[in-house]
Formats: sequence, C-alpha cells, structure tokens
Amino acid sequence: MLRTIKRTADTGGLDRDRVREAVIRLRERKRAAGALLSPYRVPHGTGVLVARERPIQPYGQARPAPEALPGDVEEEGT
Amino acid sequence: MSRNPAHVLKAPASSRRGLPAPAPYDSCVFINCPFDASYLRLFRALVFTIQDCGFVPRCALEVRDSGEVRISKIKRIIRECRHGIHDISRVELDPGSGLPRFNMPLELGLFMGAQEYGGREQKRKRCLILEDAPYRYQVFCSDLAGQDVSSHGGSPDSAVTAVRDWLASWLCDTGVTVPGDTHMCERYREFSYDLPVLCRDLRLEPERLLFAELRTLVQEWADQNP
Repeated sequence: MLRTIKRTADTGGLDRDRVREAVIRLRERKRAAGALLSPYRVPHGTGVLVARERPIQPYGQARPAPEALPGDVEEEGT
Repeated sequence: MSRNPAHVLKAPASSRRGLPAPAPYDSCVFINCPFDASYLRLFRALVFTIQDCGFVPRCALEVRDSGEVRISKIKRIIRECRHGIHDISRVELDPGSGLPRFNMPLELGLFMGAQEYGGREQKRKRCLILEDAPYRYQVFCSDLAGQDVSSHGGSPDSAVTAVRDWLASWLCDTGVTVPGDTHMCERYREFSYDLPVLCRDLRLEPERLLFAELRTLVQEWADQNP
C-alpha cells in the first residue's frame, strides 16, 4: 500500500484550493514544455499532444529555467 | 457536588488555546533544528521528506502566538508528536554574542525525558538525531555516545536519505511503502525547482514563507505529483 499525503487544518492562511490550482497549472506547463522538447513529439496536424511527465533535459544542455517555461499551450489540431 | 476526582472537569485539551485539533500522534514528526537562513535548505528538505513519507511535520514555528510561552509551546508539540528529528549540528558560536546556542540539545533532552518518564503513549516515542560530521557529537555531547546518530554533511540529499530511511523503517511494519531515497531526492529537487514559480503565482516570497505555508505547499505539490 502506497503512503498517503496527510493534510493539516492549519494552512498558514493560504487558500488550499488556490495552492492546488497553482500546482496543477505549473504541472501542466511543465508537461507541455516537456512535449515541446521531446524528440518523440507527434508532428503538427495529427491532433494528438504527447505530454511527458517531466521536462526533458537533453544531454549536455542545461534544464530550462522556470521563467523560460512557456505559458499556456493549446492542444494541436483542436 | 461530587468529590470523586474522576468527575472533576478536565482542563481544555492540553491548553491548546483554540488551535485546530492536532494530527494523530503516530503521524506527527517534531523537527528540532536551527531556524536561521543558513539552515533553510536543510529545513525545507526535512519538511518535504516528512510530508512525502506520509507524515505531518511540526515545529515551534507552526504557531505564532505571543500569549503562549515558547517553552510551553515546545513541550506541547513534543507531547503531541510520536516521532522527533533533532539536528544538533549547530555548535558554532553565535557571531553576535560569541556564545553557543543550546536550544537543540535542550529540546532533544525534553524529548528523551518524555520518552523515559512519560506515560505509555510517550514511551512509544522514537527519534532521529542528525549531525554534520560523523562522531563529532561525541566530543561536545559525550552522553550521546552509544546512540545512532546520522550525519548529513550539510547536504539536503543526505538529510532526505536519512529521514526517509528512518521513517520507512518504521513504516515497513505497517505495510505502507514510500519511494526509495534516490527517487525522493529527485522529487525534492523537482519541488525546489517548482517552489519559486509557485510562490510567484501565489504572490508569496519564497525566502520568507511561514512554516504552515511551506507545509501546505508541500502537501499540495506532493499530492498532485504522486
């Protein structure tokens, strides 16, 4: 059985829903950035967006800085 | 009016002064470490690993209440935590006063005292002692000789590994599994990479996060990045 992440009632005044939305937004941006960097990305016009779990770090190249991550990426072919 | 001592009204739950109910005793981990800027990287690594292993990190920073005496707050939190992580690596003299700081050894002593002299629940306490370099503690705190002390060498990866292994060794009897240390170190690096972006999105300052804010960010991040 895998561990479960426990939550506490005290959030330090943060709105938990806002934090969750921010985490999901960033995750989606990173997936989209990973898909853009991937050599296995599906070509334009196929209507399929391949998203990787994490941004890819090509050999010998620095990982993109968080600021360099692209904003919202529209799905191709939609 | 009854004179039976059992009928005497009890004090409000351990004088928690209207605070939310604490997490279950078995899942709380008390962090006893320096809270200055030079320790921040290790502190975040500890908070992340505890949370990512499915436990709840707690420390003296969790409530800022000028009405509660600091040592009372620490004793209350120690009483509510089954597990404790004590980093006694800060032995340097304080540059301002030229004197050493004894808070960490004092709180370790409180924790071990509760374990030794407390009731049945307190006797179930367990702790992890962290140091910077192996065996150095035997010089400045020779009474700890014979204890298992882990050294982190100031590296967050080593701290993650030490805490993960310690918590996983307890969990293995419960049938709960946690990611391996390499994977957890990678997750911590990923979180550190994401934290400034999340803070910017939420209009927070990463270097000035409150403990409860950091804990909430870790909780949501770990939940959304299983």
